[in-house]
Amino acid sequence: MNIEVEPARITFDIHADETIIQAAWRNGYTWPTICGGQGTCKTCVFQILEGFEHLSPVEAWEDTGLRSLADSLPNKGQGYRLACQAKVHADIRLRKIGVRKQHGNS
Amino acid sequence: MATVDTKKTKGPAKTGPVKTAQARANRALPPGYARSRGKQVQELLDEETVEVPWQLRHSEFTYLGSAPLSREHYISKEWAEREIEKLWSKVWQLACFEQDIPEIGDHIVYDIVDWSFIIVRTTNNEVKAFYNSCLHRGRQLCENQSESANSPEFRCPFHGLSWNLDGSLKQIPPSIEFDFPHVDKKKFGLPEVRCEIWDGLVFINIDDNAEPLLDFLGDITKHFERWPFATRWKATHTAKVIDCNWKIAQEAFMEAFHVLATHPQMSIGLLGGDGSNTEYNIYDDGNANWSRMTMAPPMPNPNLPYELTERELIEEMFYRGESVSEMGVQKMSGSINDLPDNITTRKLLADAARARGTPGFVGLPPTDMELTSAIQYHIFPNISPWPGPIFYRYRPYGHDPDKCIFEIMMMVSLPKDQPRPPAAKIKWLGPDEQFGSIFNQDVENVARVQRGMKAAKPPGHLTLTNYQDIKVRWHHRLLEKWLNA
Repeated sequence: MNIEVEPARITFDIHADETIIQAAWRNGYTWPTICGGQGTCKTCVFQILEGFEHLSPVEAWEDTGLRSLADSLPNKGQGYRLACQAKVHADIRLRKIGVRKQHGNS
Repeated sequence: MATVDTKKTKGPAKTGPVKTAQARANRALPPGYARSRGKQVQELLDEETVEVPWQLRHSEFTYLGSAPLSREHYISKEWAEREIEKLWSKVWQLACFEQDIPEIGDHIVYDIVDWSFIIVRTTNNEVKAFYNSCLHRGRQLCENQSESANSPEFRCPFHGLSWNLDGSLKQIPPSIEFDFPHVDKKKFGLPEVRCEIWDGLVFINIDDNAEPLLDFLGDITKHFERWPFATRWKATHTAKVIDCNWKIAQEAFMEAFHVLATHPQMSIGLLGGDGSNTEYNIYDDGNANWSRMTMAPPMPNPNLPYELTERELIEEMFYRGESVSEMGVQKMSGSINDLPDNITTRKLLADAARARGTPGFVGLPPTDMELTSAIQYHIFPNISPWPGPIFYRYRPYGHDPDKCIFEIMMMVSLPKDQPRPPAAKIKWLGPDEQFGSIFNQDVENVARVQRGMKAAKPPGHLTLTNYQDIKVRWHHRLLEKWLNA
């Protein structure tokens, strides 16, 4: 399974048991976060471009986070997920700025 | 000032402290002088392409210790009573704006706790303030605190006694005059309260022995010579009764490091808007009756675990079609490909602001900082004027320490070549009505702060930060000075 990230045109593979941010890290990519993937800072939020139905259901903790963002995201936050919470069971394409290959001092 | 290393790149974010050059530098500093990662406000001013007004460089800070704060300041009825007796009865406080009462006979009511005052324009050059109470039975002479009214006199609706605008007795109705033989009409004027004006702001002081207003205000009056109020227009004025102490509401706007958690929408855009790079100033070692904070303008968030470029940030703003600034959300237009390679987010937003028209700043051309960052002054005890359009006032709600009146005004540049529009009257929001946008998140916090403080295990002391809560520390230090006087 693959995650395709716009606008950087990055693709990496993902396992069914890991979140999108964990898959990015395993593949050596950075992903914007301040809390380190705990679902609190919401900085990892991304927009789904394709494969909406391939994402895991939104659970309570992520739902709390997404609802706190809803008023400030386009379309009341519809089509947005947190990369530190969401998993997939098939390919998706998404948009997230700031995803890039780690270099140097990891 | 700590040196800044903006080259921090990290892989997967770890929880716990990031070992940066900044963190190492901070450890060598005395308490209160450690700073967040990323460029500080004074460093950003070094990058301005126009001359920086001295006001922005007037950057004082004094460490006021790290002692905890007592929750009693907020929740105790006894403390609230001391504030009434020792503070509100003696301190200069904003009653209204001159533009609220532009014509002779225009008057407006200012209430604070149990006091009520009529602020009236008596001549073109004079504003007076009177106790809002009839000398016969004590009825309120005027009632409306939301908008000004105009009348040639103050006539009590109860028995019809009337006073002239200057406070002198006008008439005891002839039918009842016979029954007031003991009244010396010359000495039966409405009692005045001290009333002085700074830059179109009308202040009152209940204490006849108070120092003159301008002495009380000090150097903030020199700062605002650049951003005068007399040439601005009060375009909106909204008020709401909030379920918290007036100081809790106010302190929600005395620091900016709550932005990350309370307003996540400001940092998900990766703007430098998580508030951590805000500069806090208290003056005269914390003895001045005013203070300031300056939020860093939009820039790549320095708290991300790697360096984000200005270009990426701007691309995101264009993609979303909007940007956040002090003024609110602005639509981005044009093509990102037309922008120079070295453009910064703040330059882009500042130039957009310049294109919309120069604000009424006096002297040097506007800096990017003034156009894109939130600069918030504060005057003890309860108002916050900005060089930008926002203006806050906070008042206790009667004797109840658990409630307050929070007001937001927009003080905008006067439209060019047009007569001055009338100042907005106060719009009172009901319990279920909201200020809107970002303020809703703050208002939700403050009511829960009030509730949570009461729920704390005694003594329930509050542990503040050394630097970023400095305005809170400053405010309580001054407050205690007043209450202990």
